[in-house]
Amino acid sequence: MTTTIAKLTTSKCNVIEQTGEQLLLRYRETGDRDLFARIVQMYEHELYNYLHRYMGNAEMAEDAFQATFFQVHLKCDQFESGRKLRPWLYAIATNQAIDAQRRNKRHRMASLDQSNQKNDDEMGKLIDLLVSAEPDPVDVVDAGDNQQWVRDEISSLPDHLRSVVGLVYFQGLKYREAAEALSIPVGTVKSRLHAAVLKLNQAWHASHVQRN
Amino acid sequence: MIRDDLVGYLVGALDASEHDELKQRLDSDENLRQQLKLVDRGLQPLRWDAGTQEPPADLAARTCDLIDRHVEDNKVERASGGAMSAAGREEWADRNRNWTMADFVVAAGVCLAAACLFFPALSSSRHHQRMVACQNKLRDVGLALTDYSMSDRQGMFPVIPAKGKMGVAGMYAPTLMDGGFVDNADVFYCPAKSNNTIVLKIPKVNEVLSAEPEDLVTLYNNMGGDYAYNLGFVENGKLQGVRNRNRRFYPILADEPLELLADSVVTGHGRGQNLFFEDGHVEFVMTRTRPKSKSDDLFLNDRGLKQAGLHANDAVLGTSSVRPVPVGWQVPSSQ
Repeated sequence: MTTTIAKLTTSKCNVIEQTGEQLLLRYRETGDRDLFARIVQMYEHELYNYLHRYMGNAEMAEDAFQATFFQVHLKCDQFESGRKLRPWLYAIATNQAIDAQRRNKRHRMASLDQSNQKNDDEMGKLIDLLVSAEPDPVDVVDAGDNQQWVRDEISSLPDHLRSVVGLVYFQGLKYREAAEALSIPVGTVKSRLHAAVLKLNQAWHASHVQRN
Repeated sequence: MIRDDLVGYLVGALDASEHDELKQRLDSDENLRQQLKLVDRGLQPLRWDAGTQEPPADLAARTCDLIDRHVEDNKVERASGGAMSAAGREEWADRNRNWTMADFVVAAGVCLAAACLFFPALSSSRHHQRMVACQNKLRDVGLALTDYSMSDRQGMFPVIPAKGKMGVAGMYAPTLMDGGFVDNADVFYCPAKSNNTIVLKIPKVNEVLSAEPEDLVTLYNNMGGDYAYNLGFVENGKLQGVRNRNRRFYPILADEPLELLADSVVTGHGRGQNLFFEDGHVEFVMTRTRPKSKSDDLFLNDRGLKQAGLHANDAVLGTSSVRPVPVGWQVPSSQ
């Protein structure tokens, strides 16, 4: 397939103008491996990033990435024309990530509401939390530490919140597309994203504002 | 809810029409613009993680190679499988012609022994499959309840009213369906239950509220699906709902008990039941004592009644038609 990838650079002009959906439908009809390679290339960066962030591990992300496209190859007959490819791909990728975590037994029994352990008495809401007079995150925290801190916090979120943050915030899916990818109602996606943002802010207040 | 849409507005998750509608409201509503600013501040932690991971240079090529190898292997298997069956047919026919009665008796014995070994394993495997399927459904419903509690200002799970037509344990299912927390009513039915071939409809809250008294009995028996829901507890003379405190061993939902035994219950899985706990984990428990408690009965309160708990730690799970407090129970007017 290395040759296939190489060939793509020369034959790119034939397929580059096609959407992922069109490529998959043509691949299904013709079995043309170049078309499949093009789909893999097209979604390589964003799917790998999603899986890497979701699983917090490069090796497992690679395995899940390969398993995702293996499933795409096996199940391409089930893809309905008229549907969007991205939510379908993310649905497969999320399932593969969950399966991989179970197989590797590295799946933590993340609690559904971990940061609430620190703040048991009141669930609170994002606006209620932020309306307090405490200083803005940007003003307080050293920028150098921020990225690692937020990655650690995201990786400690329960699966159902982490997947929504990954899909909607980092991968830029619409609420409706994320709902389709996760097979949950749109309202649930919205409330989960809100809950995840609230938790990150609660964690930030607990670890930085109180310390400062 | 508008606060969720404000997050969606800032991260570009709204559909074009929703986005335009909200933008118009923002243009004319100063208070909403202030809220948007606060939500924008709330998103700041996520913005710190702006970096992306470059995939390994050969990942796409290795993935395509994997698919190629699979396709090639399948071709070889199909080709060799066809050739072998063609070559083996005559040999198989020759062998059959030479079989004696003794051969048949031995073969039948082997088949019988294999069946004795295989069928219990098959039955056990099916039982296990149904158990896992039930746990998945229970977890789905439990997560929907958790989502409900997260969207509630006080963090409460659906609260069963002390009186009125919704005052039974099964009210949690219509509440979740009406609130859009569950899409498919199928999750309320355990695959291990004998009646699982008949998928009953979860009624709408309005249907329950407007039902005639004679129809309520059927509705009450079915509307909670195959699961028992936490009845809440009585405190200061008031029936209290359960607030989500993320407790590790506080049960919210369980398989519906079909029969109460001395120290356990019978459910669709035999003795024992799956439990969904407040922190989101699901566990199969053989006895009816709450894990990590001395003697808290999962299905009866501290007075031994199928009613709401007598205090905050007295967790009681009731089947669909169970009322947390008896009909006619008076809510003290002074409270």
